[in-house]
Amino acid sequence: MSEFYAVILADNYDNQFNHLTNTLPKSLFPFVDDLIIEHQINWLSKNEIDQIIILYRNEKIAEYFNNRKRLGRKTQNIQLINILDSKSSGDALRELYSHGIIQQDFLLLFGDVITNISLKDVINKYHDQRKEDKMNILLMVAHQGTQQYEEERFLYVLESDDKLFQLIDLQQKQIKFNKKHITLTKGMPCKYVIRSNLIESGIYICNRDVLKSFQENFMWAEIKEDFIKYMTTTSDIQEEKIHLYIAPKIQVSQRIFHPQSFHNACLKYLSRFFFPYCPQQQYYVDFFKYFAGRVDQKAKISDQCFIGQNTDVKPKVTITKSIIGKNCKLGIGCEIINSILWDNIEIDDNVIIKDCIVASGCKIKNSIQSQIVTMENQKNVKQLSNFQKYDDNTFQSEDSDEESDSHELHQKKPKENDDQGLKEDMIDIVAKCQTVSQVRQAIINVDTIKVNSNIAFENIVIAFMAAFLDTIQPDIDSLKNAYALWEEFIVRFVSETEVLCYIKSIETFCRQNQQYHLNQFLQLSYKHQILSEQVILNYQNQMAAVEDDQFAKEFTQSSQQFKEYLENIIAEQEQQQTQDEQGDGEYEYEYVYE
Amino acid sequence: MNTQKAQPRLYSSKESLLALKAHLSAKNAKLPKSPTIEDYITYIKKLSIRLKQGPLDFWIPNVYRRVIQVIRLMSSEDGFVQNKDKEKNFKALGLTIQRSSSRSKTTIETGAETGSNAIQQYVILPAIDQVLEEMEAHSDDINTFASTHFFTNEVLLVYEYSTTVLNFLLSAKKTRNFEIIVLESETENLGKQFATDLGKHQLNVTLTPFTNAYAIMQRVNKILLGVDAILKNGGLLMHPGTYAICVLAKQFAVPVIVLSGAHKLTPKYAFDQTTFNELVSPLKINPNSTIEQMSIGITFDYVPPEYISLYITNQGQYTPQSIYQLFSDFYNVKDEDI
Repeated sequence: MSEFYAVILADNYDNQFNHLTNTLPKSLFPFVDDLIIEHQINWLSKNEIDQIIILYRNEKIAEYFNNRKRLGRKTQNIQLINILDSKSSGDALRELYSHGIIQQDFLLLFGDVITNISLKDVINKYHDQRKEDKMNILLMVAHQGTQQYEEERFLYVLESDDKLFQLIDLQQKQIKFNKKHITLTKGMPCKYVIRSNLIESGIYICNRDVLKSFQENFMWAEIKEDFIKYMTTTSDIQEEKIHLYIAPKIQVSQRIFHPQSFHNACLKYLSRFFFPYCPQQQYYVDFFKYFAGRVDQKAKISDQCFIGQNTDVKPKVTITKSIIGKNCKLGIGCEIINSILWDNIEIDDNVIIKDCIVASGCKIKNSIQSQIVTMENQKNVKQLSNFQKYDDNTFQSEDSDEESDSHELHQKKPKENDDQGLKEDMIDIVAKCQTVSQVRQAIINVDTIKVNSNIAFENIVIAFMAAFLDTIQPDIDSLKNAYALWEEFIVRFVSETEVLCYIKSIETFCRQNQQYHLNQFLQLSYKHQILSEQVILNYQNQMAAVEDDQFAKEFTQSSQQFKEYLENIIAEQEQQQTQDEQGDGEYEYEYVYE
Repeated sequence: MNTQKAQPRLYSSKESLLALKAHLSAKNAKLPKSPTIEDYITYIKKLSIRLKQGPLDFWIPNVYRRVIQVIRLMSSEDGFVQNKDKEKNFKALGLTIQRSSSRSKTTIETGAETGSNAIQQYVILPAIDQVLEEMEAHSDDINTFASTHFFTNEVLLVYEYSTTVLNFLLSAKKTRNFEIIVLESETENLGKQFATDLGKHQLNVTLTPFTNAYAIMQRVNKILLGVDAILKNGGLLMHPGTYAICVLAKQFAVPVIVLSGAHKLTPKYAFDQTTFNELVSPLKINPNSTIEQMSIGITFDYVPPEYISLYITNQGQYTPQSIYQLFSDFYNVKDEDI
């Protein structure tokens, strides 16, 4: 076995993980506690195969292996071969043949296979069959199970002694059996057996002749579609045979085609289906929960979850069937459902993440669903402001991303009736509240209204301001009281995206009623930390640039002092940052009312 | 990731002893230049840690502990004390031995140091041989001890495959008749094999599934069990399902008798089912498991000492409450950490 090479095709040629594989090849995806390729190398070394050849297309694999230091008694001899200009796995195999390293037999492994199949019997069977007939060149390894994904749906037509007669793709429209007549003898079973409970595992044991035939037929791109199909359809002419090794029921494997199978493979790994390749025993908490990080007692974590090292799980966090990597920071009140989070991720408070894959280093501020988030597209990803908690429809369809897009578009434009009803509700709420605790109750009420009727923040702010501005009187004290009372409410619902409509509503109100001064509103908003300096300055500059507007001119004149004050503050803040912040400055400003 | 070996139990107990011999006589054995007994003992301890298949592998450390204990006993008897003066005498002794042996053309395989040869030849290798003899002959001693406990026309219950029990039954058949009921386990398929092996020797054997245990228990006179590990508090670790049988036996007041060789004594304590246990793949229990409907499979069952009536080993017969005495004779307290 020391001459036996293992060849790993460490890249994929399809676009299932479209965002992620732009930067990171599939073999370097983190799979629960380690990278996929490390799992494969571990599996190979446990089966006593030490010579590994990795065919890679992305430079990151070369970088990774140059910096790789693993402790262990056995060191594997890993060679890297670059297949940069290959567009299919056929090209990769031709490149491998041209290097001439492989003399005899080798094991071919796809880069996305997680398995616990024991190779001892497989290799023995291969050698036995080679002794029988030199024309047995390929041994496919399959395991038993129910075919779950589209890519797994094949019919395996086998002759005696597990020789593969035909591989029928069930995704095609017409299925044709290669044999026109079958003779049956009484008392004997039929020579051909059709099995649909086998799943190909992505492991092949091949002879050098396989590489030769790829070299001869340079149009061949895939192993299954071209090579195996050719071998099986032309079996009258060809003498080369392909056999199948069916693993016993306890040995399984899982290929990672797309996000659903990725999640499925992770859950299987956690549930110890790939015994003895399991997460470490020291992290084991309960049945199929593995905590390598710190978990608070008040967090709710379901079965089949993995929490990586150095990850703090704060109270009131709910995690359901998810895998969380190292060094993640989860805010209070998060919910993470059916998702895979990689390393170094920050999640804000009260964020719901459902059915997503989040790559390393991202920061999530709003709830997301059915997305793949990477560093590049984390700002562009559709972050839901109106998140539906019980939205199971999007997960059942095939192109789930597209479905959820159209689903949300419909709901972003609320209907007129809702708007009217919302305004009435707001007026009721505002009228009732006299104390701060009642205001807090009002916050909860408005939250429930928002979630139930799926209203945007904007509409709430507009409706609220309309009701709020109705209640106040033109004098200063009532303004101050009103702001002090509603401070929490306004802070809760006016965030960065809503400040503009907030200011706009105040502006329209002031234009209509000349007794109120926009300047006072802005100062009070600044005092209660509803608006920041920059926002106010931007608005003031904007107003200063407006022509032909009496109101705007008056406003700029009256707010000159306030503007200078804000500019001073910003300048001092910058100074402080450069000086490393000595002392906290709280500035008292005397409000100038006109 | 798990770093244990994928194939468990690569070495049986005998093979581990032979492996020890091979390691000691290898040319690149990492022993200091003039090794003392202590050096050998640390070497053996390190080797056991290296060869161990995982935290649940008890057999290799047990055997090595016994070897170390025998070495200590033999060295204290023959007066091989670790002093520097005595070593010199030793070396002289070794020289004469080497000269005499070179004349008789026997080859000494380890290096050129004569002191190491002497200790090895007179202490270590005989110790290993003694332990090997004990192990190979354990069946006969067990059979003699155990045959006093069984009478004619008894119904004995046996669970899954156990070579010790098989040897005993075959030897006891010569003097009396009895009936055997073999209980099949739910996860392994060795019960059938056991029944056929017994049936070849014209024994009266009945094979029943595990769910029948309650129904037949009132008919049974005694239960005979083999064992995977005997713990220091008197409990035992065995194939999953044993605990259920022992609980049933206690309810029906059927005595449970355990036959084992003394190399299965493990100086560890367990207090519940999960102390020495590992979850295995759900497919082992139910081949149709999916993620949503899973079975939970475990490696061992722990049976507390109150369910067992008697331990019969090749060193003697003990109750679970008193088997700790055997541990202090058999092993040394210093060696319990390997």
